[in-house]
Amino acid sequence: MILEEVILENVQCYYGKKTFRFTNGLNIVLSENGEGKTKFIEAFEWLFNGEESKLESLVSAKKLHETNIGERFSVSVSITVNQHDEIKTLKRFFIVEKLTDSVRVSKSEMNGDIVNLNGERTEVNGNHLLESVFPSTIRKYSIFKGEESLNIFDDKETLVSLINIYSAAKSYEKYHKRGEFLKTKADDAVNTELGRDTRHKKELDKININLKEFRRQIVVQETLLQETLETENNLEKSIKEVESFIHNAEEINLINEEIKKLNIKKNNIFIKDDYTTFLFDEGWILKDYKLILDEFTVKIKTNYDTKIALEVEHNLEQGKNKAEALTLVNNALPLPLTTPSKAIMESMLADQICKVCNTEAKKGSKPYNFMMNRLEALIESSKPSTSETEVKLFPNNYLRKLDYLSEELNENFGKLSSVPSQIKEKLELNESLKNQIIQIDKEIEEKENQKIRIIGKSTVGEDTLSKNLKNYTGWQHDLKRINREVNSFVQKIEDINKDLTAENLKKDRIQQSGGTNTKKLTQIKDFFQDIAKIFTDTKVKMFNEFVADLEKKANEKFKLINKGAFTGVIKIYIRNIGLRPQAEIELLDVNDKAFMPNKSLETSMYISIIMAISDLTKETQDEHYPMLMDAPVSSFGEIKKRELLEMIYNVKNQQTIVLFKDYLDVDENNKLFIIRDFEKVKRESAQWAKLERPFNDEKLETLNTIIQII
Amino acid sequence: MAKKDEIFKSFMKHELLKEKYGIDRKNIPDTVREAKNSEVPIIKIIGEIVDTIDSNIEAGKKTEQQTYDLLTRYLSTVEL
Amino acid sequence: MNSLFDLWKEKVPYYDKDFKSLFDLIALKGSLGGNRVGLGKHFDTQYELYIYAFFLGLSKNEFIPIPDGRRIGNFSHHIKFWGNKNSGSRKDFSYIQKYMFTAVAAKTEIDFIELEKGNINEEDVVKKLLNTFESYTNGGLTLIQEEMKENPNRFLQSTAFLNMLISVSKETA
Repeated sequence: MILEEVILENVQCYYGKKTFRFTNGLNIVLSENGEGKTKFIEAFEWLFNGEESKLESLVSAKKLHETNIGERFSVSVSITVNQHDEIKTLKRFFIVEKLTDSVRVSKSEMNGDIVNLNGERTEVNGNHLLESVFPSTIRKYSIFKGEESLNIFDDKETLVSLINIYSAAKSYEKYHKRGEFLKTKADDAVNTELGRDTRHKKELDKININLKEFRRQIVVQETLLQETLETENNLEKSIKEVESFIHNAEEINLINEEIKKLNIKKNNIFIKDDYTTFLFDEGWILKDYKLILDEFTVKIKTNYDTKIALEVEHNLEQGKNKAEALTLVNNALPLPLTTPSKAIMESMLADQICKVCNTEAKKGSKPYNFMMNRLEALIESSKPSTSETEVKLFPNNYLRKLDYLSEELNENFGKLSSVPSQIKEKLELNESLKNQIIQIDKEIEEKENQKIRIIGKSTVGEDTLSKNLKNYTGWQHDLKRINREVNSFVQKIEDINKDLTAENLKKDRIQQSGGTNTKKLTQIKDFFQDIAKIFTDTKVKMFNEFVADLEKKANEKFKLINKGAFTGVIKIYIRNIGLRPQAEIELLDVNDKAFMPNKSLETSMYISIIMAISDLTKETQDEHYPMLMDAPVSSFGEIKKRELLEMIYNVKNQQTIVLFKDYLDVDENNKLFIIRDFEKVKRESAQWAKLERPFNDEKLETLNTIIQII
Repeated sequence: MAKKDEIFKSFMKHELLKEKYGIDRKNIPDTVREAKNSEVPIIKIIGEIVDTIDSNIEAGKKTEQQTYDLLTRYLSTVEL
Repeated sequence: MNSLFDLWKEKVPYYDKDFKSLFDLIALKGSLGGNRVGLGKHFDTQYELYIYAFFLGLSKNEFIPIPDGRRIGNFSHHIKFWGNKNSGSRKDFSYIQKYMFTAVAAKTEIDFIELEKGNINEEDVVKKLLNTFESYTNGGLTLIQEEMKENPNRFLQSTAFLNMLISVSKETA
């Protein structure tokens, strides 16, 4: 059955008649959250399940808004399919009448019609057509809303049902049944014949009573076994749920470890930004001090020079000769008397040479006398004033100390010149350390968000975990007990079967000793027994072969989706126990040990199995049905999404409709667009369901989804 | 190859045929039509059953009871 | 004979009494820091604020003599002790005394010639130097107080005082 069209009329955001067209193979529908994606699937499901309870909520607000009071319009969902070369249409609809303050909706009705190869149209009962177009048993496994709904395999009987629906084993069921029928019928015939023979009647009657009793007991035990198996199933489900929490808890523990490491890293970053203190301790307060220092230096120098000049003048007045003797050649400003020092002067005189300009100053020469006068003046100036007439002009010498201070500070200022670059470096260093911390904080936040996502996906929070862990241990206990119960039932059934076989053997012996007719009928019965065994054994074999093929194919697709990543191996176990066989799916690692996959691996595992089933049954099935998936890839990364779509695209002859919100993004004007990568995605058809702009979330009457072919 | 032939062939693979009935591989026919003409009772019966269930023609299909009657009638006449 | 510097650093400078609250607000009392940041103070000691205010007033050329009668605050800590640290997390910054003195001397009108001649009392000179010191500091404190009133949020940053003095880094609002 190929779904060709889905038409939504005035259903929620689909104002007016909106048509989705599909074809065989992979069909992609892109739609941003809230723009019609989920509504599409809901409308599609409504067509099939026809819920009457909330019809009003299905009505398009925009259509209602535009309708006048008293007027009516129709709300409908219809599909057109191609099945067995016939075009079949199904439409579920109801009428809406706008009243003053409310609406009146009619009951919904279902119309169906078929157009055959000759173009002849026949109207048929909608509900019957529905079941034949898309049987509910199949629908159950063909529509998936999101990743969670893929966990259909949590129920052990699901996979078996699926296999029985899709595989050739289905065909063999009839043979198995027929074999059983023939066998039983032949057995009855023998018994009837035997019954005529009074010789063995008493014994036969007793045997028959026993057989009846044993069979009854088996039925009882099998019913109990079945109930216990269900309890076991439920218990295992609960345990699995908690194990997934533990799995989550492990994931969360890992993340917590990472967060801890990041915090340690952060704490090891010390930012020293005590800038106010650095002003003093590092001398930063003197950054612009040079000017002041220069001012001071100049001031002191100027004053000092002035002082010396005055001193010279004074000395001139005080003692001309001496003063004259000390006048310099071009009336230049003389050096202070103390410069050069007494010791140096004495050494120069002793050596009879001016050691500054390297000129001879022989005793008695002009230079020699000059130096001598100078030395005498120096010696005299340091003597305390003896005479009263000897008046010193400058009794104080504060300027000298100030001069020293100026020298000292100027010398030290070399060190201080690196202050500006020091300040700059420090600020830059602190900035970069700060950025490191911000970066680490970002990483920590991301990890916290990861945690929230994981916890959000599971139904319990981090705290409830301990409570579940308590249950978990109790459940594990219960499970052990139930496992033992199951085993005891199985054992009991085996024992009763042994008794049954023993009685049957007795019966066979009697049958052997019967007359010709009995003998013949017995032969026939044995014959049919063999045929029944052949049929049943072949059915089981086909089933097991299918499972093996399924496993192989599923693993192929699994590796395709998860290209390059470690996947483990999918293993399907069939357990023939109780009244119905059960299937369990496990993921094995390299050591053949089962492990819990993460969400995206689990999802891709289920999709692989579903797709493998569909792929395998193309040859054997009379019919195939479309698969509808709503965004089953929220846990997938970009590459994995692409691989998945590629895999689905390559499954031959399977119509798959996938609804995505990925491949859509907003530009700088907040306008939605399809990202370039989508061009590379192989598909048979692509459509974009988007809300007409402008729209207002809070005003439903502005919502109108339009469908754009890509 | 028709579906019923495929199904028939799958039954023929069962070891009972060789072990209990001593039938050689090469003596097993490929099609239901051939099987129905076989003189080996078990092959003929299985062929008939397949035909009653998966016949291409609606008329060929038979109920369980009809099948039983048809087969036992045949089986009564042959040496098993 | 002592140098002018030796005489000057024996002094205890004063501040305008109106600024007492400012001192209490942003400087810790006592000689050695402690829980400066925890208590919301910027300066480990009150004289540090004094030094800072002086340099601030100096660099912005805010020479505001303390009005008569308002000269009352001091912390009984002679200049010669300022910056002496021999324990804790702080370094010794007593070097600052020389630099403050030099700045003060540069900015004060002193007739050195008369001083050297002995016609001016050195105490008077030192008084003048001290006055310069106090006036620039007063100017600085005024600036700080104004800024705190206008832009209080600025002082939540660790770069606040650094920037006020030497404008080096970007300040975030």
